Amino acid sequence: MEEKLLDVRNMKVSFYDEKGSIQVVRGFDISLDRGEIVGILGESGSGKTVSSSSIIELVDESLGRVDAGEAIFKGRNLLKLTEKDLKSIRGKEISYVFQNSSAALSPYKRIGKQLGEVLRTHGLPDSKEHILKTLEEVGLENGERIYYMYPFQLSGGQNQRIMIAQCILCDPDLLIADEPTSSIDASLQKTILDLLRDISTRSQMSVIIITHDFGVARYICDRLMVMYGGLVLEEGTIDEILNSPLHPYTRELIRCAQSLAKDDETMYTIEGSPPTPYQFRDECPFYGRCSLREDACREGIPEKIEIDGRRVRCIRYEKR
Amino acid sequence: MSVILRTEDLSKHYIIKGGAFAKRQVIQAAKKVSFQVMENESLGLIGESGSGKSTIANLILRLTQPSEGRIELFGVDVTSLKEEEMRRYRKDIQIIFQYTNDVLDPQMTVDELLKEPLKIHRIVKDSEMDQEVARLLEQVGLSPSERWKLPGQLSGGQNQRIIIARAIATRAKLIVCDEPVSALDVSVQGQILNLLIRLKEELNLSYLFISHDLKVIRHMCDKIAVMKDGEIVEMGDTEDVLNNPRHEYTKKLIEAIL
Repeated sequence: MEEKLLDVRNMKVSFYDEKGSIQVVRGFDISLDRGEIVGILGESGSGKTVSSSSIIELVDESLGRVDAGEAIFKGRNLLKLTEKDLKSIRGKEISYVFQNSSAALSPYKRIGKQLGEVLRTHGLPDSKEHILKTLEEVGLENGERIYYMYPFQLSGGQNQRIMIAQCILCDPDLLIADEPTSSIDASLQKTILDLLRDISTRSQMSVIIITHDFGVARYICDRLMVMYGGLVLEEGTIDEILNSPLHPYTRELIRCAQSLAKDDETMYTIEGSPPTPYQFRDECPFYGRCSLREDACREGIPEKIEIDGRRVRCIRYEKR
Repeated sequence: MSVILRTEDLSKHYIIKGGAFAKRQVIQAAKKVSFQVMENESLGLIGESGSGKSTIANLILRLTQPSEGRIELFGVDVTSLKEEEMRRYRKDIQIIFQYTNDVLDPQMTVDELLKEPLKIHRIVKDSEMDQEVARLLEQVGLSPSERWKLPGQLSGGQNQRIIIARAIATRAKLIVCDEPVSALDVSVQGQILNLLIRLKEELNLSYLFISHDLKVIRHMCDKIAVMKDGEIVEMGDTEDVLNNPRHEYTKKLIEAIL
């Protein structure tokens, strides 16, 4: 079997607070083949952004730490690398598209200069030709003009493309995109997602998409991981998850989304709200809201169970 | 059924003064916008960022002064009312903002947050205040135990219920809902939409509903106005507009639904 591009196992991440520290990611696993697009779907506080940014240790050392796990990328454990080694990987082999792209670009520097810096940082020639070619690749016309413009002179959608251009300049193996379409207008969503799909197919680039939106996941992802309460509760292909979800949380969440899509008279809802890290207990995180709960759900965090190549954390699937 | 809100050729332009040698620029944020909202009706405003949706909200709340045109509330022209005269209409028209951490004062308890609008608009006597707060909590589906908590101790959905309770506290007739569920979790959005629909019937409310999410608009609104570059390019019954869009821009918005 061909080696995975990235294989993250049992990663746990904590943040420091007044009382010491609090674990926000309690079990995160993800593996990607080359050219594969995997989605991480979760609600706020589920740990989706923290887990994916921790893969390349983007969490500030003074704010938090990775407690456990490994992240094997092309044979090397990213969590064991020095900051210097990580710097040569970030932006070059693994790039990160931030949620708010306009804030991630420097307002003081012309686009051409910002993109040139990325190349120089990674020891590549600052080639205007290469930058213009990349701007064209992300669907920006008149790149020659944009090269000399500032981010504030461009629209949100254009800045999002520039952010993506900046991320693919060095031809990375993996792109992590955090809600890449949530800050742009709906009519541009498909265009940006199509663009990511194109680049992925063309250059065998793998993509991790972080989203809270089933529509986005369905549109672009090959596989999906569903996160809740700092844990991956379910993992499978996009068809498996959408058509035959295993975990009660996934089922309920899909029913909520479908209820709105079908325009039901009364929206289907899950009572209560997702737990915050301070409410995490040593039990199934969905226990309080689950209609199928039983006492055994409170006996520790459910183990990951493998069923026909899919994984789910729910005691209902344990052999009894 | 009576007309709650009517606008006529409402326009707003902003003048941007550049530097010493830059040209003065005029931005047309709203261009001759005319619509009306009937009693117990909800009108959805859709359009992309910069299309003028929030400008319209600010104009009818009289948070900004229109450049041209008229605004009528309950048949009264309020376009050029002075602030003191406007105050008596303020309680009739309220806004529910998109939930963020800074909409509610983090230092105030739920109890204080709900008493604030009651006091400002002198809705009930002091002796009835406590009872009124309890009634509001129940009406928006919060348990009595949440009353002494701070916003930071509550979830996003619970805080959005408090924002809604503050809006209905003044016995408002028209509520402007500016993206009321877009910051909420998918599993919580439905709870808030159900609450807004229930309140609309119980209290005979009218909504001016702003959202970029057409699925939410379709669920909530009787009519839709599609805005582009400060103008209404298409308006009509929700099902009609969404099933048979006439304007190219409306078609584009519908095709973009994922």
